Amino acid sequence: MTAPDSPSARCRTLLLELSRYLDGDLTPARRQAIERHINACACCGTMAARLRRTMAACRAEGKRRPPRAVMSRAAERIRALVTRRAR
Amino acid sequence: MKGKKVTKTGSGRRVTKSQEMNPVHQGRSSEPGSDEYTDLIRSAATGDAEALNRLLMRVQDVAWRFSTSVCGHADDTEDAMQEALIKTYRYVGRIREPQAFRPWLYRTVRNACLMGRRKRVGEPGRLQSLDETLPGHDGPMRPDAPDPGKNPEQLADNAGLRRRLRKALRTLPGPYRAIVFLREMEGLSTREVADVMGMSEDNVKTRLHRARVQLQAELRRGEK
Repeated sequence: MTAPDSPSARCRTLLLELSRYLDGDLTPARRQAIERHINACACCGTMAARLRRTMAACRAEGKRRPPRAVMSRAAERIRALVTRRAR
Repeated sequence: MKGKKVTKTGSGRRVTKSQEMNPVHQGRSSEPGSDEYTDLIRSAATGDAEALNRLLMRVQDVAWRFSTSVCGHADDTEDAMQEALIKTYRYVGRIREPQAFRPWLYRTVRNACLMGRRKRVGEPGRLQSLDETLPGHDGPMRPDAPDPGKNPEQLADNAGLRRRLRKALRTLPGPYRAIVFLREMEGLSTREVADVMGMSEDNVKTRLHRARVQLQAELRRGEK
């Protein structure tokens, strides 16, 4: 079993596939092979967990909403545009 | 095609500059059902004022998020929002393929940010920190929906993680940051991201992977 901070050559090769695995972008056969490897290899198992956490943090950040002052100005811009066109 | 600028999309499809800028001419749509804008666009195109207003507000929301997350220049934000608003308003009644709207919108905002950057070449710039969108900078930030399943320690941990993530995002090269934003934060498909960025899907996947690896390394560094 490879330690998390010293990836073997095989683990480094599999790293790119790990992202595709997390995106559900692999064939069923490759997915199962990666799953087996993740369960057996501490290095890739840890990396998969870290990538999952990073992706989850990004998704949470994507829910960020503009400050009220920004949205007030946006609403005002929309009103001005629609009113000008209506005239 | 003579005399017209031709570029290649992520799928290798060739489009003219005018096609790139106008969703009316989009030749290929995204996956059916994946686009939340479809209903709004259809209603707005038939004169539904409420739908148009909601669509334009969403456009403003997206333009703000893209500009503050990816471009990071304070002066670009309002310009990008204005550009996206005017272009959407101008084209909304003529869009034949609403599914193609979302990639078009992100491309429009991205181009507006790039134009802003070009205009400022030689000018002293001020980079906007993502934290400038927090309370005390431009009015109170909208509170995120509280998660009833989380205790105060978990919420504090999440706040710390988000701060570290914002810092980590700033270490990524611009195109990587844009890809992370489009794919992870906005939920575009790899194909849509490829369309917006003007690169192949394989290129998007490779860059996305590298960006994820760098981000997780930065997040770990921030933990220590």
